[in-house]
Amino acid sequence: MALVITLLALVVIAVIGYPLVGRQPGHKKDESEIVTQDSGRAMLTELEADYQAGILSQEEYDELTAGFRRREGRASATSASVDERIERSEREPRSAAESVSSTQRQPSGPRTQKCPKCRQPYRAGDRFCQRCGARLTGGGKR
Amino acid sequence: MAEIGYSALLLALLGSVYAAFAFVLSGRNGSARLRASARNAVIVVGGLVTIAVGVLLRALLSHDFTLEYVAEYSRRGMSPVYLVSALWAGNAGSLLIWVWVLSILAVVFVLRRHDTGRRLVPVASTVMMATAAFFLILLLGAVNPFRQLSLAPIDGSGLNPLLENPGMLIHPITLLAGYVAFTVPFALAMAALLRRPVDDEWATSARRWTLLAWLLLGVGNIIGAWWAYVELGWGGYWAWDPVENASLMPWLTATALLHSLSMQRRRGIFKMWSLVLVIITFDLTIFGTFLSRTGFVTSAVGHAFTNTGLEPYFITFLLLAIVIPLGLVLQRRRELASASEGESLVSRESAFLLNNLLLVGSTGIVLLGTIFPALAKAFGGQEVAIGPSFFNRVNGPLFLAIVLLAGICATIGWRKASGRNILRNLLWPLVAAVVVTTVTIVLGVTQIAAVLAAFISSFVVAGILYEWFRGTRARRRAQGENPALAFGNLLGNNRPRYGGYVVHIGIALFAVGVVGSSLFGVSKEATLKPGESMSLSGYTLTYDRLTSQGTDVRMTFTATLSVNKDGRPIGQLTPEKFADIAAAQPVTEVAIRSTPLEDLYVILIGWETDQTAAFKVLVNPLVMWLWIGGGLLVLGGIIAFWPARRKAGESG
Repeated sequence: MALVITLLALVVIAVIGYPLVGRQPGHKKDESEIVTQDSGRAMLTELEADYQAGILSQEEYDELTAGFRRREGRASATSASVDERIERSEREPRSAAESVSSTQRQPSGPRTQKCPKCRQPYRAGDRFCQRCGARLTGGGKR
Repeated sequence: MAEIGYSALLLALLGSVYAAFAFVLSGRNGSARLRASARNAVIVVGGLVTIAVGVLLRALLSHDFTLEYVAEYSRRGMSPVYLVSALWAGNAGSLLIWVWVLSILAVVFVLRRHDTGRRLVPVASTVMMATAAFFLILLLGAVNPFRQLSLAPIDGSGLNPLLENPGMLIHPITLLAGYVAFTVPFALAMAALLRRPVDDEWATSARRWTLLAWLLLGVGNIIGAWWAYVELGWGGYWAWDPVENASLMPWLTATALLHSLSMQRRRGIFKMWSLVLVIITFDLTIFGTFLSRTGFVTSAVGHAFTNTGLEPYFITFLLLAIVIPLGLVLQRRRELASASEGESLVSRESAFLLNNLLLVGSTGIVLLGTIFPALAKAFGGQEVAIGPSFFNRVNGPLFLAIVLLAGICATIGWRKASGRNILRNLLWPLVAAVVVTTVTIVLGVTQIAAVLAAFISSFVVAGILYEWFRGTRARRRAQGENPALAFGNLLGNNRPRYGGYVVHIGIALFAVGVVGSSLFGVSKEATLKPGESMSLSGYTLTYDRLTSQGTDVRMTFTATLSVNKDGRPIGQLTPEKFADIAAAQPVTEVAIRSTPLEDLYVILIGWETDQTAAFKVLVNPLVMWLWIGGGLLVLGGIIAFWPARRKAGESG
């Protein structure tokens, strides 16, 4: 019995002590790379659902989304590469709210392709899905 | 073998203390080696406690009566399934399972791929390991499951026969797991409070853990109510017993917490609320464990525990777990103030806030009613009893208001709902509710509570179904999908939201069951000779015969009654009583005939040698809706818990 207990204790010490003397653990992600929470996107999904369900009228939807879309734009920009940021800043002045309502509900341009993740149609040139934020591989060139 | 179990617990205590300190130190000096070592320590603790559980389980299965615990909670001849359930039948065993579940959750927690909340892992793990250390100290001292007897008895005392029921296999363990799982969101909140600045990251990480704990606690409570109804044989499902209250209270505050977290994630508001709620919920789970494990308040419904000297430990831990976190919240209150964006009183935000207030208020009332008798006794020396009528009277209106708000929250606009918005969204649900209420009144129901319940429940269900209908219709038009696909996609794209709606429908149906059975239940007792009949609200029950059947360990007495409803035969019911040779008192097996409209519930009270038997018959309306509502509640919880399709940059 005493032997089993001693062995158990030795295994415990070995497992806990190994990282202290063994190889330096692999460096995973830098803290700055960690994607933080994005409450703006959560809220946009919610407002979209409310709009689809008819809880919000178009004006209410546009008014409410404008603020969150700006916030989301900022959040995505921090993780996007430089050229994406420039591209985004070019598009920004066209009023984010307007672009949402036109792309998501009343198609003004050709909407032949759909997001591979959520099947939301998108316009040629879009790099990210307006709904789920997935990268759109086909829409990279402008 | 007992020595191995005890040593494993001792090593686990050392490991958890080491992990707690190593995580703190690694956070200070950023040492990846130390963090990896601490993480290994968490895994080792999980392994060691698993070994201890394995040793106790083996002792139970092999009838090793040299262990006091085994001798006390098992006996020869018990089926293996109930031998396993004996693991959590007693104090020592259930506290061991507490630590075991916590240590496994901690392992899952440190091994999970963390995108969001990774920075919180070290401090959160420290909090979890400190909690584990507290329970390990109890297990090594006051309630040692491996305590050995100097003289082993030939056979053990065995479980209370009431506990030998399939419901009892799941009810205690799910409740316990629910209690324990709240440690994770609490630990995340503590980690967030100890970092600067306090951000919303913890709320995202804590959501699914909270949902898991809420779901487990909900399942545990529903199974407990069902067990009380079918097994205890007193005709009801909820007695406002202290131990029941102890598991209801954290569930109520966790419900508020889930709504608060959803607001924090979406709007960045309710930050203080979420933190305070997670602290209260965790403290209530510790209080619940304390209440059910120490006999602090005497229990009536199958929850009897002996005094164990655990009180000072629990009270100290509870005080620390109240004072330190709330102190931190107070200290950080400026950072936690939400940037109000001018929400109007008539908005979804306000409805959520009111909902939180009502849930917390109702928890406060249940807490007061639960501990008041003990406090009165401690301070005044007088026995005061607070019966179910107090709880029903005070909580009834509160719960109805909460259900009503659940309906309003789903259909009202954000920030500032305009008159037009309200009219557009509430008109059809209101029309549906008025129609249902009118039909209810025409059918002869006039009690104000019942009329209100009919109105509120139908309003909630209609509001949600109407929202689903409009959402599906919009998707169908926009995407050209067929209705089933459109509805499926609607649900799949926002599971937390639609899972929540399914829960709301479940709660509304639950309310129908509660109001129906508590307001319109009737009962009658009668002593009958074979061939005699009794009648109750349209049912006629004719007592045919009493038979007995015996085995080596158990005698079973079965009465057979033929049942007619409005003159038409509808079958036979066979209430029973059985007595185990080893047990002192006989156990009642009720006979229930369940329909969506009402349950016919027959209890065999006793009998004479001339076959004269006494029965209690109850007609409980709408009870089936309790179980249907409960089922939907669980289903909705699972839908909301189910992992979302992974999106770029989002986790959990």
